[in-house]
Amino acid sequence: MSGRYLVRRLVQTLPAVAGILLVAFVVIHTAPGDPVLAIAGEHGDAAYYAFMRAKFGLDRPLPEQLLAYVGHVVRGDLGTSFVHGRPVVEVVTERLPATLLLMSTALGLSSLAGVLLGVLAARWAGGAADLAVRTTALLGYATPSFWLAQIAALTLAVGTGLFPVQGITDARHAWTGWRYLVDVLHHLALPALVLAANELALTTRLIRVGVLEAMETDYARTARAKGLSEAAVVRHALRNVLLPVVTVIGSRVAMLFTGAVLVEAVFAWPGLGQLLLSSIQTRDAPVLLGLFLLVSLAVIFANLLTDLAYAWLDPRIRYE
Amino acid sequence: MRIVPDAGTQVLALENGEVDFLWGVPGPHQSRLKADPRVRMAQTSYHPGGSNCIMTLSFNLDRPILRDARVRRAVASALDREAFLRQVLFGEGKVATAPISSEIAWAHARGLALPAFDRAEAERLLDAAGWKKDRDGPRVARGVSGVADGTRLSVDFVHFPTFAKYGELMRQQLGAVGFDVTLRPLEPAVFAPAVFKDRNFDTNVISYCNGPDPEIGVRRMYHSSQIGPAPFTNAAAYRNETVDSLFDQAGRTIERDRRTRNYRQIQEIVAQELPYYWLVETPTTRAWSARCGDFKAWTGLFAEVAFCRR
Repeated sequence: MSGRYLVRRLVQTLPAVAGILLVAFVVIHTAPGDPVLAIAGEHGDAAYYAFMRAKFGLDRPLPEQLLAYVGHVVRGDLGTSFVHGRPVVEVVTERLPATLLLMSTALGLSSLAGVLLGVLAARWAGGAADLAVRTTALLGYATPSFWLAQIAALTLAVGTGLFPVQGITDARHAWTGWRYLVDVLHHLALPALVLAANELALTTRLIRVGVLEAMETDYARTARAKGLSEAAVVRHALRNVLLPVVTVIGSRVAMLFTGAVLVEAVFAWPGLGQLLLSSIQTRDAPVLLGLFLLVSLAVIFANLLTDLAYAWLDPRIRYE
Repeated sequence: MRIVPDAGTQVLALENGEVDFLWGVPGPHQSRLKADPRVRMAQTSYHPGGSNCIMTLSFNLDRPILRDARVRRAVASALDREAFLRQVLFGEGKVATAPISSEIAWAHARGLALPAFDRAEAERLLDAAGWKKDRDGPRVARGVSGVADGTRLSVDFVHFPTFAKYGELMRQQLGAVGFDVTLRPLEPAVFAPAVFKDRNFDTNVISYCNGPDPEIGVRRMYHSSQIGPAPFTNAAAYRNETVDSLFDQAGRTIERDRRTRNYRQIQEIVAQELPYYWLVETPTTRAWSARCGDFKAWTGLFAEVAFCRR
C-alpha cells in the first residue's frame, strides 16, 4: 500500500467528517432543552442566565456559533464543556482509555472466539456441537446487552463472588504496579465478556458458512487428494474466509460503541459511554460534538484498518 | 466515594461487599435487602437535593379546564394515593396528609380535610362542573365557562421520564372517571422551560422538597411573587393575597407558635383551593454493610464517625 493511497484516503474522509459535524451541530443546538439551566442551576435569576449565555456564546445566532466552532476545531480546539468547565479534549481523553480498553478487548474476544467457534461448528456441521454453537451465538446476539450485563452481574459476580460488579478498580484499595494491572483486568472481565457475547454471533456464522463453502472448493479437494489432514485444509481455507469477516468486524465498531454505552452504565465503567449519556441529559453540546467527531473518526479509521487487513490477507489486493 | 449510575448495580455492589454504604435503595430491592443479615437499613427524609419531599401534582391554573376548583377536586377524588404508594414506591413513604411534610412536625397541619379517594364523588363533581359523560369516551363540556361545548376533557401530564409510573397510574385512575390524559415525559433540561417559562402544560408532577423549614421549600410553591421562569417555583401560578400575606408574616418572625398558626391557615386555604394535590411523601432508604456502624444516615455528614470492621 503506497503512502499516496493513505493520504488520498484520509483526505477523502474530510467531507464526511465535516458533514457529520454540521448535522450534529444543528441537531444538538436546535433540540429542545436549555443548556444554560444545566450550567447555571435552577435557582439563578434572568440576569445570571443571560450572563452565562453570553459567556458560552449561546446568545449569538446559530450560524455564527457554527462558524466559531468550525474555526476552533480546525485549530484542534473542541471548545469547553458547559458542565465540566474544562476543555472538551481533556474531558474526553481522560475517559477514552477506559472505553478503548473495553471495546478492544471485546472486539478481540468476539473475533477470536467467533473464528474458533465458527470453525468448530463447520467441522462438525449438522451435529450437536454445531447446534450448540449456533444457538449460543444467536442467543448472545438477540439478548439486549443491558439485560445480559445485569444477569452476568447477578450470576457470575454476586452468585459466585468471583467478579466485581462495578468500576474499573477496587473501590477500597489504590493498587499500584502489577497489582493495579490485575485489578483492572479483574474488573474488565465481565463487561468485556458481555460486550463480546453480543458481537460473537455474526463472526461465528460468517466463519461457519465460509468454511463450509470453502471446504467444497477445488483447491480444498486437491489439498485432501495430496494427503493433507482435514485440519490443515481448514487452515488453508480460513485465510480466504476471513476476508468478508474482516469487513464485518470493521463495520461493527460503531455498534460496539453503542453497546459499550449500555454496558458501561450497568457496570459503572468510567468510559465515554457514561459521558455521552450525561452530556445528552445536560445538553452539553461541546462534549457531544467532540464525541460524535471521535466516533466518526474511529469508524473511518476502522474502515482504513479493514482495507489494510485485506491487503495483508490477500496478496493479490494492492492499493495505489 | 464511587459513582455507580445503575441503581440495580449499586445494590449488587453492596451485596458483593464492594461498597459499604448505599445512599438509596430502589423499591423492588428493599424486601430482599431487609431479609439479608449482612445488611442494615434506615429510612430518612433527607435527600441530597433537599429534604422532606412530597410528590406533588400541579394544576396549571391558567388553563380554562382547570380553573374550576370542582374539576381539581374531582381529580383529587379520583386518585387512589395508596395505589401510588404501593405500586410506585413499593410501600416506601406515606400518603401526604397536608401540603407541608409531616417531618416538619411543628408546621404540618394535622386533621386537614383533603379529598378522599371516591370515584363517585369525582363523577358528581365533574357533572356539576358541566363535564358530561359522552358514550364511552372522555367527558365533554356542556356549559363550562370559557370552554366551547363539545370540548373533550383532555389534559396532558408532564413528568420526568423517571416518574413514568406516576403517569401511568394517573392516566388509568383519571380515565376511569372520564378524563383523557396524555402523558408527556420530558427530560429535566426540557421539563423546566416547558413548565416554568413557556407554561406549556395542563398538569405535571414534581418532587417539591420542603427543606428543613417551610420558608425554604414551601413558600416558592404558593407565593404569587414566585410565578416566573425560575424552575421549581410556583408551577400552578397560584395567586392568593391572603396566602401571600401569611407567608410574609411567617417569614418575618422567629416565634414558633405564630409561625405554626400562619402555616396552618395557609394549608387550610390551599387544601380548599387545590392549586396542587399532594400525593406521597417520599423518604429514602439508606443501606449499609452490617460490618459497619455509626452511620448517621439522616444527615449529609453521614460517615463522620462511621467505622467498618474488616
